[in-house]
Amino acid sequence: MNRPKLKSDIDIEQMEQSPELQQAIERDFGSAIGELPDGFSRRRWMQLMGASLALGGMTGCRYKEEQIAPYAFRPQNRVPGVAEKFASTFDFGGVAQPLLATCFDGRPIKLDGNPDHPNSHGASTSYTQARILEPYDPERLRTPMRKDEGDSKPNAVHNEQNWEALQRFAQPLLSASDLSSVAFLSEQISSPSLLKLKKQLEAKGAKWFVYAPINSDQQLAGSVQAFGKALRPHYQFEQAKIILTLDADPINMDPNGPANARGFALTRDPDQEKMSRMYAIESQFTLTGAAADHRMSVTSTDMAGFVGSLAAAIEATTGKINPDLPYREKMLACIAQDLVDHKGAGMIICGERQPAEVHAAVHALNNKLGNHGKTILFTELPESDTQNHLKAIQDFAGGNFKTAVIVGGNPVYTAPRALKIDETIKGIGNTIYLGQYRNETARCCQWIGNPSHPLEAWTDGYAYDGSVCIGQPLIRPLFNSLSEIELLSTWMGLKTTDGMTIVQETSGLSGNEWSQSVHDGFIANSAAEPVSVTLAGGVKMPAATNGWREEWDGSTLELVFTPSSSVYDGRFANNAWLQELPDALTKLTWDNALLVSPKTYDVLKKSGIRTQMIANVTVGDEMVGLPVLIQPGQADGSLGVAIGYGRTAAGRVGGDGWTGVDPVGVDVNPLRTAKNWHFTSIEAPTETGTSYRLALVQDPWNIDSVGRNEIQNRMFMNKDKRESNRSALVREGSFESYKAFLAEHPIDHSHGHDEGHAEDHKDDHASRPAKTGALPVINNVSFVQPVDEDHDDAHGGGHGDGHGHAHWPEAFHLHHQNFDITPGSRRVYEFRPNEGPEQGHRWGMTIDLTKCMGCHACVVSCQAENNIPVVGKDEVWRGREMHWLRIDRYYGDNLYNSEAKDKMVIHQPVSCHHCENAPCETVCPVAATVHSSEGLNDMVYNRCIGTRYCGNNCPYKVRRFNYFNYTDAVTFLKYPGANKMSDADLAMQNLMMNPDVTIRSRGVMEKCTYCVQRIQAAKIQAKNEHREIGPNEIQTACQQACSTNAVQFGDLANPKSNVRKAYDNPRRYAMLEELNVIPRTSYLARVRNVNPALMEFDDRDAIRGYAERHPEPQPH
Amino acid sequence: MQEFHFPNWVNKFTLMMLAGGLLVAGYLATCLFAAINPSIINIGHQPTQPVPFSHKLHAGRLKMDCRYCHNTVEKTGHAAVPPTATCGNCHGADLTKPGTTLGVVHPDSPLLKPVRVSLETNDPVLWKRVHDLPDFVYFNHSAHVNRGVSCVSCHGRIDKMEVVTQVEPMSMKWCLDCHRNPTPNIRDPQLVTKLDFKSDDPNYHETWAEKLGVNPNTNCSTCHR
Repeated sequence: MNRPKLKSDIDIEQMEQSPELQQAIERDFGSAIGELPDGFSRRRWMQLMGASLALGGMTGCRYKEEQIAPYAFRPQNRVPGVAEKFASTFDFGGVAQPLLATCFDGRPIKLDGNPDHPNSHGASTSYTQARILEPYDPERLRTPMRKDEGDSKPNAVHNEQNWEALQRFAQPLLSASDLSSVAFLSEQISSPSLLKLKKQLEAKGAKWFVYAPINSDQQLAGSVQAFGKALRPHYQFEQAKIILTLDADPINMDPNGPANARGFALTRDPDQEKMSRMYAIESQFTLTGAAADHRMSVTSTDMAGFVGSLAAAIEATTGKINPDLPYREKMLACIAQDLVDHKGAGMIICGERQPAEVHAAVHALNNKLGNHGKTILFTELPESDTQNHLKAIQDFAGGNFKTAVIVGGNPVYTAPRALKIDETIKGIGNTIYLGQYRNETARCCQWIGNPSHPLEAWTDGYAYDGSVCIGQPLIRPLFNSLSEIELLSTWMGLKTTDGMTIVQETSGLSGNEWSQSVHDGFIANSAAEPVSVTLAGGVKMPAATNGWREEWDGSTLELVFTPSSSVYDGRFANNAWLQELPDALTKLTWDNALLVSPKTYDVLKKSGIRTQMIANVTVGDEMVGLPVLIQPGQADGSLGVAIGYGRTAAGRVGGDGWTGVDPVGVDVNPLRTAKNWHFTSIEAPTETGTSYRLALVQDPWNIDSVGRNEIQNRMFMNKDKRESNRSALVREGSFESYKAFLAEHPIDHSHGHDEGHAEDHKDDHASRPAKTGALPVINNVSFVQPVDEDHDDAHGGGHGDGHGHAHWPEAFHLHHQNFDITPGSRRVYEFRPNEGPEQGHRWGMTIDLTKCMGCHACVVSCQAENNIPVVGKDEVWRGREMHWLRIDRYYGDNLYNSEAKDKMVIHQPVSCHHCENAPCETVCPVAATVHSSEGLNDMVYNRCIGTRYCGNNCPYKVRRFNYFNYTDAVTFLKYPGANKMSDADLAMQNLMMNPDVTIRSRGVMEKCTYCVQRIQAAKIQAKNEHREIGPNEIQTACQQACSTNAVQFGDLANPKSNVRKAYDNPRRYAMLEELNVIPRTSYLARVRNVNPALMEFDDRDAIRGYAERHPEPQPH
Repeated sequence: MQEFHFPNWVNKFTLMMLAGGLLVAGYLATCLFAAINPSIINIGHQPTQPVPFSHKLHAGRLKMDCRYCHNTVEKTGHAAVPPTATCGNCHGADLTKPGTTLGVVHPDSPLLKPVRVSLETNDPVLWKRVHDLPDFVYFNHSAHVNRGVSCVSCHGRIDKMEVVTQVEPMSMKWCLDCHRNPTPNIRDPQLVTKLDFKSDDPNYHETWAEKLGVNPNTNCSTCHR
């Protein structure tokens, strides 16, 4: 294979399986293999028929008469067909998530973060976004169920029962005066109302156990060791200048992840010359590591030794870094020096995976550095109960109870298997499970009650900052169910059994205060007060070791269990959106895999293990076969695997042994023991010789670097020069370089762009370089933007005060070896915000790669907003996934230091760029994709005949084709069980569709519309109110979901809009600009705050020497 | 074996078959045209409603304003078929129950039974949709009514209809005709519900179109999203 030269753009998969990648690149829209899914995949396809595939096609046909069913009595202020927003909340991992739900005609259709909440400020996660599917999942239980008498089979039949029968069973058990033989088992509880009930039950002798597989056991135990009590840390990212994470993922997989990400992004503003520096030391590649400025892989086992070394290094700081140290040593010295230099403005964050002793040691270090009380605050936990989860589940197993009530969770699947929780539950006489699904645990229980979904009920909960969130119901319970608190109150025989009253009584509010709290979604100023901490004596530093310094010798292996970015701990297994959501780094959908570093792979290869083949992993007596996948950046010797897969009783999406649906992924819980809960040392895995197809999404939509080089060779005169380098898809440079650039070309933050610099660009741009005048020396770089001259001042001022248009020649486009800014006559037509035939608005978008962390919340948000279907694993494998917005991730070698072995990562969200010279439009034979006067690339579904020419001609590969009628599986695919979907089932799924977006049918192209429905709604509203649209009034779905504000959208013609300001940022560049398609979506180059002591290649030289090397061209 | 030849008299059948084929094709084409042409299949669409509500009586003789019932027409996309409670304002009373504040017009009429049932059970009256655009078309009433496009431009003289009938084809061409030349349909937004309004001023429409700055666009995404 003719390997492309820019290897850094290319994925590791490419190096591994070049022929396949080659094929993937060439086939463009997925191969034609198997036009119809074969038998197996057809079945799998049907299994997707969760709530995510929905809507029985379009009913707009003239001949099918529609009915209009108006309210008999329309609720006050309800306007039919207009979305309303309500604040609410639900619990996730023991932390209430403040929500803002969009409801359409009384049904919630989209969930976002609550922008008013003082902690999260509207940040949300992909989980939050995707949970809108839950209430509409046809597989939710609809009635209480009871197991057949005498049936002890694992998949025992449950019969439908009614609530009265369940109450007859439960009430005597729970309203007795002595409850000492009654056990409760739940996950973390954030609800004050439920905690109140818990206290009442415990007062009568009942035992309440709290167990969740993803918990804070180690962190709390570490806090007990360090401070004598269990405290919850609050990392003040906004205040931090130096951040060190140790096996932690605080900005993503953390109870407070979105808020942390937001805080972190606030410190990443290179234009204001404000940049924190983050070091990530970790065994697995996390999004924190990808966002960090420096990342070093250290196995989880060696992390304690690293902390010991760090403590020693902090003692030994001298103020200078010895440049001759080996890289890893030097990194440690830099970290220590930075932390010492920024006392009170740094923080060390230890991940839950590390044992309590390491947490305590990190507390001691933070204390020593004066970070406590400044960058790290502590609060009391809302529930002072600091039960150790793993101990709790053991106590439950050994408890010998007569009655057990299991409130949510799925301990049979998640608990250490050695405990045989299923046997325990079956051995208990009376068991009730309260949950939405008949999962592994429910199947062991005598009775299953199906409580209301949190969106259907009054809820409350403590958010991470301790503030009390109030959740109002957004829809009446679809199945006439009651919520957990209502059920327990009823069964306990309490007086108050109404959800709202319970929540209100717990909150202690009334009148206006109560109404205001319900409206806001939280009680104002209810956040927990930080407590001051004093370090207890006797915290021991772990011994410094050399394990982390040295090259891995290939002998020791550890296996690390990570939460899944899709299914978390397995709870979202039946959520097809999340199952199909690619993992941010592996880009793997519908599976978990054994992740190995390239070097580890080289070693394992000797024993026959191959990527995308099953390898057997053994821990103790348990053996599990897992497909192998190479993950660059993984610590050598550290194998990673996501938990939460291999569910056998999740449903038609996630796997259901009862109806014969195979599980998704592999269950690795058997390998976890209470002792080695997070990681364990293992023997080398053994090969099985079985190949396994993983559905990875980066390959099929890879921007084709082969073709890109070819196009450039043809397009530009100077073939020998590596001009292609200038068009690197992702661009980045160091903060030092950017500061040097800004020193020469300061951005004027004070007064926009009012100076209207005159420059003639009406001539042919290709032949005539821009006049420079007082312009910066950086000129005639291929992507320097020609300066505008029309005074276009219809919108209150021109733009382009000279320096606003200097472009930062980011020194590194992922590969410093090839760095060369080629001088030449090449001029690229650039977008000029004030020129062109258009009138009025010019919609555009920018994405700041410095801020984007690849969390994928935007992808799910887009999916929810735009009714994007799920296609299933086989179709994903064929390259037919439908996500309008994808996030490309590029691995690169460390650009700044050749000694650094760890890969760097840049994420790049890509959706339709709305090119002004859109290549898709010129090839459409039926004009189904055309340009609007506001610069949108409109896609007209009803005109599309499905030639797919547009998709072939799209350089960004953002168009998606409906190979099947994904939203109407019943009529198209006669899958087994399809006929079991009643009309009511289908109607239920229809409820969550966004009625403002057309449902596409088979044979139709689709792609990002810049959320045109939101644009139109805002335009119409502004016109009705006789006003202009505000500069930042319109938010696209992806922008709304972005915790870090990386996405800006708005009117480029409005100088006040954020997007216009971002357009004038010197870091702005267009992807594949040399194609002259003039995309409306631009990126801001990534800035990495590299420690100068760790910079071997100083890209400031590129800025300094540039003017001399490339003298200003003379106009002719 | 003797070769078979078609006799000469077959020749005239060849012609006749060709001609017949053309006729059949023409016939089919006409049928197809008739079956999909919006002005043929849409105009005159007149479904029977569960309650024989007479616009002629209410909007015509009683001169009720359109917006009494279709009260969201200025605010949102849907003009909104009114809730049954609106009917109940006049027709809701049950004379057997004392102290009612609702109107008592035709309290016993069998034709109004669905209304009374709906008021009692809280279930909707299931009206039939007359003007039904395809689901991939997003029409917004408020955007038009606030720009001085009268109800009559699309719905015709509703105030003269005993049973509501579709009078315009509501095809894309028909929409575009107006989007390209909106002036004849523009009037004072205060008068949009005056269905019989005619201006003597020959420049009336031009004046108002200019005053309101009406400049509709014909982008696809204006209606298709």
